[in-house]
Amino acid sequence: MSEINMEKLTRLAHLQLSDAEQTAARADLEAIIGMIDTFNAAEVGDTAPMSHPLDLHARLRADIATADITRETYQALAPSAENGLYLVPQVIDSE
Amino acid sequence: MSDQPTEDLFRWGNWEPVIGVEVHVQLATNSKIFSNSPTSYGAEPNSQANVIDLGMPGVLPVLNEGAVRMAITFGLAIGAQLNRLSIFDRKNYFYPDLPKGYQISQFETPIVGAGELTFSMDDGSERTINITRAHLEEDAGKSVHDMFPGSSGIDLNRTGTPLLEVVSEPELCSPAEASAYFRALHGLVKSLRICDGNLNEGSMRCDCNVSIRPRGQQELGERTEIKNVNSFRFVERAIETEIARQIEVLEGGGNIRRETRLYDPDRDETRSMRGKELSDDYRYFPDPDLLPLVLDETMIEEMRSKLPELPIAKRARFVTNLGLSEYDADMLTRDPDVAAYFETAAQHAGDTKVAANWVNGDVAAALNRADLAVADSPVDAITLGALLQRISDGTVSGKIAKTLFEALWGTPTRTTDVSAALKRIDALIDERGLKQVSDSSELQGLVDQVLADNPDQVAQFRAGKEKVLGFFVGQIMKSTQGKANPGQLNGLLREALKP
Repeated sequence: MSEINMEKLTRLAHLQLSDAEQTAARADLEAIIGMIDTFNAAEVGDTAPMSHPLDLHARLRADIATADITRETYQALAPSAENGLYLVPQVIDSE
Repeated sequence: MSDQPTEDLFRWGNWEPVIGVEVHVQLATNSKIFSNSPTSYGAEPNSQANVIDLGMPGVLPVLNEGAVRMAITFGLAIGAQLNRLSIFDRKNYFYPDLPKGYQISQFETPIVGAGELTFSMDDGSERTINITRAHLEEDAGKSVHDMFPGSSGIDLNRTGTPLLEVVSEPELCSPAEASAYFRALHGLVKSLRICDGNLNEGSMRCDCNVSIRPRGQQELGERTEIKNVNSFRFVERAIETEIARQIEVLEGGGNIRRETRLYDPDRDETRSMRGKELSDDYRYFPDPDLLPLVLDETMIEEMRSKLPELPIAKRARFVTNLGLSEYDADMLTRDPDVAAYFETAAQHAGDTKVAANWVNGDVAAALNRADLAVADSPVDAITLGALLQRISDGTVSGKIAKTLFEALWGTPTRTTDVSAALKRIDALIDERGLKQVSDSSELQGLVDQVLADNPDQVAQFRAGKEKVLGFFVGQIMKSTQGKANPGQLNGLLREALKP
């Protein structure tokens, strides 16, 4: 990443940052990218990519629906729920 | 069969469309891909979402073996490379119907690698399209935008439902071809019993990537993605209308913007949804909560041994062994339920071609009118077979059989016993006096009478006007209420009309 596009990053992250916060975040991100550049400089040509640090593979669960779901319990934790639906600030699909 | 498309691919002038399709196939598991919540459709909102589906802190996903087996089955059916080790990744984006803030998907290492799908077009030509990959992922929930002023309602029942996303190479060269591919994929996953194929319930959703380029150019044009198209016809219409839009933009001096679009069938147009994220924007990374998936050879061989007859093999068998036309065989094998219905009916019908005509004709039309799936047909396959048996043994004519079919349709029953079905049909024939008149002397009497009553038409026939034969048949059918044996009747009429 040659230049940090703060406007795009804040949009993707759904964050509203003040100018001061953006300046601070930019400095942090530049430091992080600097560290990634250090990683990129490492010679890893003979090393297979690793997706997980443990030499284990996934255990599988039998395809049986056993969940005991109490909707009311979960919805009591939600900021807002009505007619069984969780309510969130209006989102629409089109811009 | 030809592999050359006969449709007009030059109707876009100097432009050539390039189409790739991504189909989300909802896998017919009992439970979700990473949780033990049920997956049944139509439950009360949020009654099928547990702590894992809700993305509560501290919970861990555990992969569903059923989804893995179904993905393997699909991979085997398209002759794909199955990746013995595949990785689950997090695809990060924010939307309220995705409570974790990321979707668990597979990015660089999917479970199913490259394969291919062969299918036939309506004109009988055959096409093979390369499938890039198929990966496992979880579905998101649903948003309701119009029930609560200022708020959206979120139903997370669908969250975590297993999906197999099947990605084609951008090799489809027309809207009709894209639609035929989607239909073939639909037939395949239903045959494999890995998806219920219910398009109305969103069990298969198609994203169409469409671009155009000057004919002969190698480089691809910028593409747009039409999201969530869920019918064969709409896939064709959506792509057709998007190609036209792109041509208009480019010929007007504009540029195509990479974006996601929605197809509006009422207006027959696509509309911009949002700028399309590039894969970098999703910040994919391996999900630390899920270990790599390693496929067991025993499981692969077990699934291979359970593979059913694939639609393309069934179609070839219908042509070779049953003597059906390519068209009939294709129509009958597009939906495995239709193929099974036909095979059961044909087994009892006594005439395979008649059975094919009925299933593709009267039965399909009646189901269409009633908006019913073949599995819910009021006339079950054994009853239809029994009815057709009564045509082939001469008890009733094809025309009378249609009347009987309507009567059977109106009083639905289910039977597994062909003797019982025959008994029911025979009772109906007796009750309504519909038995075919096949008695030669009785028919001869009717022939003599109609010729005596219509001397002018007799003269016309003898003067070479062959069509008049139909007039005599019609008169006798009218007087017998359609019960005269048509084959016998034709023979007797021709004999009597000899000069």
